[in-house]
Amino acid sequence: MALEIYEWNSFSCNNSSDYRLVAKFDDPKAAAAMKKELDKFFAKHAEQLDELNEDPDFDYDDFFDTISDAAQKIGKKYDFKWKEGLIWGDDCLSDDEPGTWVVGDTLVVYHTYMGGFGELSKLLAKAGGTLVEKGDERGAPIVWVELDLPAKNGEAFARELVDFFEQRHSVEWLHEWNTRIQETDYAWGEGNGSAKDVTFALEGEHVTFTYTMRPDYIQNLQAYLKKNKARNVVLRIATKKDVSENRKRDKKLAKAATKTKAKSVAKATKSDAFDPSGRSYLFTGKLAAMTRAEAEARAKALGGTVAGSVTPTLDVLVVGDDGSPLYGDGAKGAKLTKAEALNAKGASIRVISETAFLGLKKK
Amino acid sequence: MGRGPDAAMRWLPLDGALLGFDRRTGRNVLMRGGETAHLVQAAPRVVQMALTNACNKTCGFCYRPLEARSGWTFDEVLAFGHFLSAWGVLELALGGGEPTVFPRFAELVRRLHDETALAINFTTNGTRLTDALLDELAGRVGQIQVSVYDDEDLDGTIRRLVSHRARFGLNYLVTPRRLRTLDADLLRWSAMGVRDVLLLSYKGDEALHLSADELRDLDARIVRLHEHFAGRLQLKLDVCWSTRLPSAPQLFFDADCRAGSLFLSVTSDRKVLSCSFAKDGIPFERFEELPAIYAALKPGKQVAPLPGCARLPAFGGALVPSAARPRQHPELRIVE
Repeated sequence: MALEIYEWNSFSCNNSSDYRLVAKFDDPKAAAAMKKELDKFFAKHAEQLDELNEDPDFDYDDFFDTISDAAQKIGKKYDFKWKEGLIWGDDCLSDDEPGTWVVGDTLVVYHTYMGGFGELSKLLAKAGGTLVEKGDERGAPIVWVELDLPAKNGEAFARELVDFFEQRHSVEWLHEWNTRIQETDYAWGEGNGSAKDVTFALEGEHVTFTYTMRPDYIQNLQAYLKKNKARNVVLRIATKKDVSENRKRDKKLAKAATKTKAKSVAKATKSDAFDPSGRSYLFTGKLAAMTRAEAEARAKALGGTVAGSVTPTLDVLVVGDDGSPLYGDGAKGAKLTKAEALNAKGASIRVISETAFLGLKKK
Repeated sequence: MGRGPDAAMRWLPLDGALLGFDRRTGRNVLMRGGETAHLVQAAPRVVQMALTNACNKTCGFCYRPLEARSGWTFDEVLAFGHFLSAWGVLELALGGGEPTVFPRFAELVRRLHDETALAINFTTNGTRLTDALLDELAGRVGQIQVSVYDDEDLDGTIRRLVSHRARFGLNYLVTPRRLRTLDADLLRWSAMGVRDVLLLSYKGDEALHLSADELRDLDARIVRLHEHFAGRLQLKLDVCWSTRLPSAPQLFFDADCRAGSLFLSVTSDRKVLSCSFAKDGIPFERFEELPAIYAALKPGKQVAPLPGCARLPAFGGALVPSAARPRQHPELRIVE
């Protein structure tokens, strides 16, 4: 009878997950150079520690006290003395090195699980980096995005973004979103921060949002914005202070919304307030997951009514996913164009995708 | 990962198997085969201990007998910890009532950790988890379990725990109403840094039990949630679900909850029960009486007289064929 051996952790992986370190450098070139150096250091450090770990006498706790040759070398270069070893992950360090990303002049270092991260932040400070926050903040960085909407489908694009922020309320929805986006190689994931960290402001053609995003998705966001022909894109890592100021701004905008027609969506959780019952629905474009009759039946099941045409009193216009202009796949139909025109004049027709419609639940 | 004063893994013989446990990391190693077939479990893996019935909340669903007096002093709990450690118990899970209202709670946890080989865990309503308390407990607690109450500032508690880098999990009682917000709650908590959520089944007479349809819904949801959160948030099921969630991936599957065998419950008025929901506890005066009480309770499979107990026919255990189905976690490593 073979001996079976099972291993598991009855504690969860430590809740110290998601370490990020954000440092600004003099210019993008310096940040990129530091990234390159860190990548090289992490790989060498991992290799050396994994080699030591092969030795049966190398105890678990030794990890915390071991300063690898690679760590000593980079420390010496920047006149930095390590007081604690640098480790990450579970079993092996190699092939699980911390990720590094450069956004403008800012360098982001990220791993879900690290020890000695504080030491790394001190090293970066010695190497000329200015720590944007405390140095080893928890969670993914808050990404600041500022852009002007694309010339042709700006409104639809903005609503697509709002959809994302507003409707993070079910795993199914996220899977659908990611599947759709992944088809074009732009996975965003679900973010990695609290929904309370999200701010979103739409003023005319100008959009600003902050979103807590896993660093490995930042480049996908950049590509997504580019594909959608967003103009004048500014992407940087925001501080918590930025977010706090944005919240204040959003509140002001929301107050002024009725006068200026500006719209502000302050939180992703705000969608909880949207009650699909009692609304009028109209469908346009080709539905991918249901027939028109099924869609209308669903609208009624939600407690809504089905409208006959686009009017200023229409509540929701649902755009079919098949060849949807919301995804940049097809041209806008007459209903969508009319709804946008009415919204521009002050109506509040909510344009949502078929997927978003399927995600609506009766309160 | 995590530092601790001792590096040794402690070993506990189970019936036909050997279990190792490292309290610093929560790592478990279970060996089972010809070499371990002769082993017999003589001590529970975990002792759940109600330090006190006192609580700063009054929840309608709480099952604790509020009339029971607290029979423990600081020194007695400490001495009890020493006894359990010597007996071979691996973990002591403190509860209540609200354990943090027990006098000198932080000092108690600290001394239990420093003076015994036990992992010290506790379950709390979170209202008293101040920065100062978390500082005092740092490095001394296996895991803090925070019960989810709708009327408390859970977000604030989570943020505090995360900022202290405490190892913690949430206890989430799944009711029909909560089933509707389960996905949203988990997504939000995961984003906030929660890595461990224990889904509790309801035990009691009230209409908080899930219907058959709702159970099927939960079962299917767990499969999707497990896949979605893989590696980021661990979902756990309490043993009372038994066979009621047949599709949910489980590390090990045992139709019986193993109350009174794998774990034992000690009340605040010094009685021993198979589990904290059972009635008719066995009183004890001296700690040395516990091994004999354990030996008596272990084969008895005491039933908690509450709808929801896995050993009641309508709630799982008794309906299961004797050949338990193995349902292993997809990430489980099996070494032969």
